[in-house]
Order: sequence, then structure tokens, then C-alpha cells
Amino acid sequence: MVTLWFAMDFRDSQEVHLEEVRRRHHTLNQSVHLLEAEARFRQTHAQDIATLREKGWLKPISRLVAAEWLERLRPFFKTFAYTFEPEGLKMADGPLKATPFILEGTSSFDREVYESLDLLLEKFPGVLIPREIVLVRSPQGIESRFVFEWMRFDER
Amino acid sequence: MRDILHITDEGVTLSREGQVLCALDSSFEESRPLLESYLKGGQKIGLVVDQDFQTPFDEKVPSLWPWDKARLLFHKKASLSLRGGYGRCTFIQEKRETCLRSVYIPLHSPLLAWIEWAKLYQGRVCIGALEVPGFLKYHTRSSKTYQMLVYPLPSGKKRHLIFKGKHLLLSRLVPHEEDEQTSLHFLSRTYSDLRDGLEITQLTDPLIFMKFVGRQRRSTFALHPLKPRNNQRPLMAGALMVSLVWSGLLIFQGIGFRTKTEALFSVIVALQHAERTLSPIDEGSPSRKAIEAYGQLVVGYKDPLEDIETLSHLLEQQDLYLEKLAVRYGQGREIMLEFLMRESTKSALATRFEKFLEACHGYFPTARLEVMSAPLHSSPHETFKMSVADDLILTSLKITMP
Repeated sequence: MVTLWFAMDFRDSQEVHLEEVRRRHHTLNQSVHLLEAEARFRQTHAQDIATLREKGWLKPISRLVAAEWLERLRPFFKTFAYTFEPEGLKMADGPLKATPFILEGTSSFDREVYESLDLLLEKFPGVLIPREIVLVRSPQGIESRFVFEWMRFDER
Repeated sequence: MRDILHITDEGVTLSREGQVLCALDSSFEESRPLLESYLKGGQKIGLVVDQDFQTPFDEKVPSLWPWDKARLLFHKKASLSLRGGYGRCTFIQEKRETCLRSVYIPLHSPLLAWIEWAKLYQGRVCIGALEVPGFLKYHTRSSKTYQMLVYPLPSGKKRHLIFKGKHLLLSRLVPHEEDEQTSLHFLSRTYSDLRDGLEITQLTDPLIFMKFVGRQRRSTFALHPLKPRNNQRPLMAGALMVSLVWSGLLIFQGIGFRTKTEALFSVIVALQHAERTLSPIDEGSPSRKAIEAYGQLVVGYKDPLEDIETLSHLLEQQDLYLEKLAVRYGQGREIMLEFLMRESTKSALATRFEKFLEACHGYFPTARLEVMSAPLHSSPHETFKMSVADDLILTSLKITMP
């Protein structure tokens, strides 16, 4: 009876131990698979990640900082104005927050408009999605109106 | 070497190393004190039963499976044990022939008193006839099928023992003057080749045989006391066996589980190493969800400057004067162009406008072109009125790209 009891205890304990190890193995396996998938994903999106890190996709950037940056465009225009509208949530494209902003100005030559637009799209501290670009020739020069959505991801 | 107490039907003889110490023909109670006087100093006794009706009984059995043999032996032993006394049974096998040999000394036999007494001297009980094959093999080394041993007894009679291999065919106590022919006559009808293959060994003194028995370390067929077995014992033995087998199976399963666990452990170590090696996500790095959201946002995104550059090439090539450009971004891109054209005749103006549209198709092959206002409102959906031609004619076009 003692032998039988010992054998049953031995078998049961080994089975329980095996089950525990199997669960651990399963969890680890899943974790490693997820990590591998994540690593592959990050490798394929390395360029996007670099862009988002540089542009600040997650952290909200103060409008004052953005406004200060926009002052760099002033030399390209004779008249220059910008408007930041209230931030809104864009659920259709995911948990995104969008701040429409309008930039209006008058410049003497086409070249100045293109250069300012190039600088804005390249260096502005945030992800800008263009919505409207209007250029009108007038007696005062080239009147420009750029409408953008200043986007950021809402982690919550 | 043991002292041999040779018990015959007429009396007992105690011998030590081939020397007779005493020969008695009285009863056990009377003989005992005298015998004990010779057995001082821790002597061991070998009790050799050499009586008629104490011969072994050999039953020929058919060929059986080992478990059937075990069952048969078990039942035979159980049957003898129920009756008590002394005895033994076992299988003997010779030339593919199996026999169940049994010797039984019942409870009421006068031999039991001798046996119980002999136990006081670490006595060993054996049947004399069964020790004979070993004795003949040792002394004669004959290869003949049949063996016969003749030896005298202290009473003056002779013992005739005839064997075929290990099997005792005949054991007779005969008068001194009778020769072996009578004994052979008994068996010759059953065993026709008896006289041809017979080796006869005659001993003048039985002590030679007793000395041989006394020197044997083990008797050929030692007898054991038979006691009624506990009825629960087979059940317990069975339960024990089942429990042992079950335990073995459980332990075997347990070892199997342990082996699998150890195998999994090595895999786990490798996985843990892989988990450590795989670079964790840097702090501040956007999550997968954030990256995917960005990917969805910029899908189909085209740099606005590219469109503007393309348009400026087109207008420059066609020598047109851009008045207004409006690009709107939604599901696709919508470009609204307003420009001025200059031509001296209406046909030249029409030709140039057609050429411009063809060039537009070339620059934007997937786009849909929609003339909003043709030169001088000449498109079919407009109201075309004769008027004084202006130098610069305003035209507008909508280019929609998917």
C-alpha cells in the first residue's frame, strides 16, 4: 500500500509538474512569437518609426512652440497669418487627434511659395496632413492659403 | 558432516562418518535418551527415512503452460497443507516428460515424533530412495537407462531400488537370500528393455550410502512441515501483485512525465534566452497601434509639391499663364486650375486647347479631366455667346485623381 501510495503520489506530482511546465512553455512560446512578430514589424516600419520619433507622434506639442516655429516662414511672405482651430477627435481613422490649422500669406514670387511649403512639410514639429492648397495670382502678388490637419495619436 | 539417523521399518541406526554409533529396535520414547547421549556438542542430524510406503509418488502430467503448472502445484500444495504433516511436491522434468512428484508423511505417522525430535538438532528430513540417483551418479558414473541399487539393512534384509533416470520404478524389502531376479521380473513386463540397459550396484554395507547422504550439503528432496495455509494469503498475494504491477505502471508513467518535463525544460531555457535576446521596445518608441494608425493615415499620401511641380512643367510647356490653383485632399485629390490662353484665331485657340487636354492626359494618366470652363465658354455645357475677343482668355479645368 505504501508503494502504491508512493507511486501514485510520484505519478501525480510529475504530471502536475509537467502541466505547469507545459503552461510555462506555452506562455513563453507565445511571448517569443509576439516579440518576433513585433521585431519584424518594427524592422519593416523602421522608417516610419524614425519619422514619428522625430516629428512627435505621441506627445502633444504646444501651439506656442509650433507658432514660434511658423515664424520662420514669415520672410517668404509680405503678409503672413496663421490660425489654429480647436483640437478634435478623428475616430474614423483610429484614436487620432487633429488640429486644423490655416496659414495664409501673400508673396511676391511663385518660388517663395514653393520654398515655404517645402520647409513647412519637411521641418514642422508634428505630422501634417494637407487638406487644401490654394494659390491665386492677384495684383498684390501670389496669395496662398494652406489648410492642414496637425495630427497626433491619442494613446489612451 | 551430519550424523545420520537411518530409520527403517525394523529400527533406527545412528551413524557418524561411516561408523555406526548405535542401532536400536525399540520405540521412540525408549530410544530417545540413548540417542541423546550420543548427540552432545551441537551435532546436526540428517534423518533418512527408509521405510516401505514412504516412497515418492510420481504423477505424469501433460505439457502445460507455466501458469497452469503453477496453479497445479499451488492446488497440490494447498491440498497437502490442509491435511498437515510433512511433505513436499514439485515438478521433475526428464526427456520432455514432466512429472509431479509428491511425498507425504501424515499427521498420525510415528515418523512425526522422530522428525519433531530431529528438529531439535537442526534435523534435515529426506527420503532415502530419492537420494539414491545422486549416489549412483557419483559412484558408478554409468550411462545406462536403468540403475539398480541393492544394499543390506541391519535386520538382515536387503533393499532393492530400481530407477529409470530420476524415476523410482521399484523399492522392495526382500529377504537376504532372494536375488534381484524376482524384482526385475516385476518390471520386465512393463519395461521390455530393462534387462539390456540395466546397471546393478550392490553395496555390502549401507553405511557407504549413509556417509554419502551425510556429506551432502543439501538433500535432493528435503521435506517441509505442512501447515494449513491462511485462506486470505492467495488473496493478499494477488492484491500485493496487482498493487506492485499498478505501482510499476504508475512509476513508469511518472518517469515518462519526468522525461517529457526535462525535455520541455531545455526548450524553455532556449525560449528564455530568445526572449532576453529579442530587443525590447525602446522607451518613447511608438506602439504598434500608433504606427499602424500612422500607416493608415498616410496611405495614398502624395507630396503636394510633386503635384505643383508637375503642373508647373505642364503649364510652362504649353505656354499658359496660371491664374489660380486649388488642390483639395479627401479620398483622392482634386486639382482646380484656372489659366489664361492667348491665340489670334478661334480655330487656333480650339486646337491649342485640345493639345493642352492631350498633354494633361499624358501627365495625369489615371486622372479624370473635367472642363469647367472652355475658352470663351465654348464647351457644350456652357452658354457660348459671340463677343469681342479678349487678348487673354480664361479657362478652367478640374483634374480628379483617385
